[in-house]
Amino acid sequence: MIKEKYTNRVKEISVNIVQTDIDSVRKKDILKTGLRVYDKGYIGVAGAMGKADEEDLERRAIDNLSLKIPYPCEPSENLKMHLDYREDIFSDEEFVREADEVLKVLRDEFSDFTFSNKMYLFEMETGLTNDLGLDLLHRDRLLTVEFVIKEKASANVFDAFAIYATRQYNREELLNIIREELTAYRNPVKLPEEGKLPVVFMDFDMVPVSKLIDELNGYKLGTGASLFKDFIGEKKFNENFTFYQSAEKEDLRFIEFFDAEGVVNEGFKYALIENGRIMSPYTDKKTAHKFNLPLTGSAVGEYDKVPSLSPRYFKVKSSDKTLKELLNGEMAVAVVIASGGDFTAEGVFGTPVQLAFLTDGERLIGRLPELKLSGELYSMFGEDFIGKSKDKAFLGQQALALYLNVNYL
Amino acid sequence: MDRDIKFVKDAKPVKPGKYTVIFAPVATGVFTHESFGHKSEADFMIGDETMMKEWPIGKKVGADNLCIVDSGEILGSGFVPFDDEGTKAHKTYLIKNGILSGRLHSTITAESLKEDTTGNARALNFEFEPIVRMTNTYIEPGDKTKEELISEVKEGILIEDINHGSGMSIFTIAPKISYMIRDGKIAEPVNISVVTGNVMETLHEIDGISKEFELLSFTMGGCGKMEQFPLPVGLGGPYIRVNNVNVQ
Repeated sequence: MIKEKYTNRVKEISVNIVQTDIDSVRKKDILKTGLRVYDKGYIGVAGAMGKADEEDLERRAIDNLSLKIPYPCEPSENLKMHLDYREDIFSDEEFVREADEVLKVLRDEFSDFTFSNKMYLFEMETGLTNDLGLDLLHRDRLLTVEFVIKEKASANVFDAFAIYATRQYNREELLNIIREELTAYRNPVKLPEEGKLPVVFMDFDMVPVSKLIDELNGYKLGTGASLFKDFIGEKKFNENFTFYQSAEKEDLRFIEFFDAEGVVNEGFKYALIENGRIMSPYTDKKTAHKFNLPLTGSAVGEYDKVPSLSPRYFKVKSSDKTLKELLNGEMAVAVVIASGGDFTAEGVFGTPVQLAFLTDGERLIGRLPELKLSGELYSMFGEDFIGKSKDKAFLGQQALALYLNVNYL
Repeated sequence: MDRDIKFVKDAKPVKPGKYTVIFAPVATGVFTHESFGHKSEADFMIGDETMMKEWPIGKKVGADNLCIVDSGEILGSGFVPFDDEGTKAHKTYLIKNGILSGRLHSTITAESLKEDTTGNARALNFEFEPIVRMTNTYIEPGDKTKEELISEVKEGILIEDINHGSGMSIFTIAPKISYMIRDGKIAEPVNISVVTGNVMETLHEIDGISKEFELLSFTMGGCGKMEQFPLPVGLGGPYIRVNNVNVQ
């Protein structure tokens, strides 16, 4: 029988903001411990919050072997890696003072808007160790700002948002993102024309790649339900299009460099689509074993759960061009909020766009009316794929650019 | 399962345009939850003069036969007999006969707006503070049968099941199973990416509400509001017929 311990500690201070003022402060310090036992092809799991009695956890995990949860895979082994990505940001008191200062500036410069929701200072430590020499530890600290923004004259629940996440906080960097967005917001503009236009999405926006994530699910592909089931190894997309799972430092936000089964990808990357060719679906150990697929380290699990297949963090590989170079003189639609759209089973895409701006590739020029976008999966990442910018040209994010049909709603 | 297999095999892309759409209970529920439910959460109104002017109690906001309710008293995903501040649940009419009748409150929002508490302060778990959330939110049944609603449509769409929905100024529903309606009968299956409409206009475009009613509970997923996701809620309703819905 093999024993494996998973620990996760989160320390967080967050400032709750209502009407551009601090409403309350919340502090957390939560430790979670999970114990897994593997025996004769089964797994037993038990978990506890706070200070855990590990002997009791082990007893409960062994008892839970009687549930006969199959786990016909070997636990990860013989790997020691401790990574500490924390940088000095603020103390808790400094953080609250800084939040107050930022809000003062926003009240002054943007009195026609209100800001609400939260700012966080978040620290995490996750460890995974077992009897087979696995010893993984991840530490990180992030300052995150998630503002919901409302124009005072609007009857909507909210009109815009601003997101900023960093290990090295810079007040002017945060404020400049908001300044660019809201200055453009105050300037209504029209589309150059309706029809096929370049559209750019922020790096963290999963809307355009959601169908890829669905169809690259290893279980879906293994059971024959995926659109890509017959296309592994085939070039179906633009040769400049590479889509990969990333656990690189710059991409980690609240997740670890290892997955819930202790798998660490070489270079912290795994290409699912490379230069247009579909290489592999994403898998956890069970899925890889069951369908004889490559293991990509895509297991996710809470401290007291059996790890299971789930998307971790995927991204499109950047080009060597700026957004301006990619757009090559064209104006583009820069999407900030495209909520509620989806792909059909065959890959036809449609979404309303509640907030978008016109961009020249260097700055947001003005706010567009509500729009609708449409496209088709193989075209979007085939002949209509423009590229991902190397620069952070869209509100502090790299930008993914592709051609879509754009019409007024 | 047979329905789903047949749908996947036979469905063709829909011709985009504006249609009369009949929403089945699950679609009605998501529409109600996303398009109007979140607007009723009073924490969005605190200190907001524009919203208070736009949404005064007593304003006509929908068709005469439209009643929208939130109630934590009903067993299921949205069963909240006492909220996380200890307030007892009760049935709150958000819209009654087309008139804005109530909002959802925590103790703070109720005090701020000088209205009564409603038992809607909920926290995802111990790691979060209670905020205003829905419980079970639904449109009350009407007086037509499902067959009557369908038979009165010359060309339209029936949405039987959905993937997800959202609501800001525009609501969206991503259908999973949908069919054309032609000359009052259910016709061929169609694939639709998304249907949308302006929330406030659409409430006036509801011209038929069925007697048949279903309130649904879910084992997975739930409602998201800022960082607190997924919160179990119940949703559903009758079949509703809505005109002038954008379909793509």
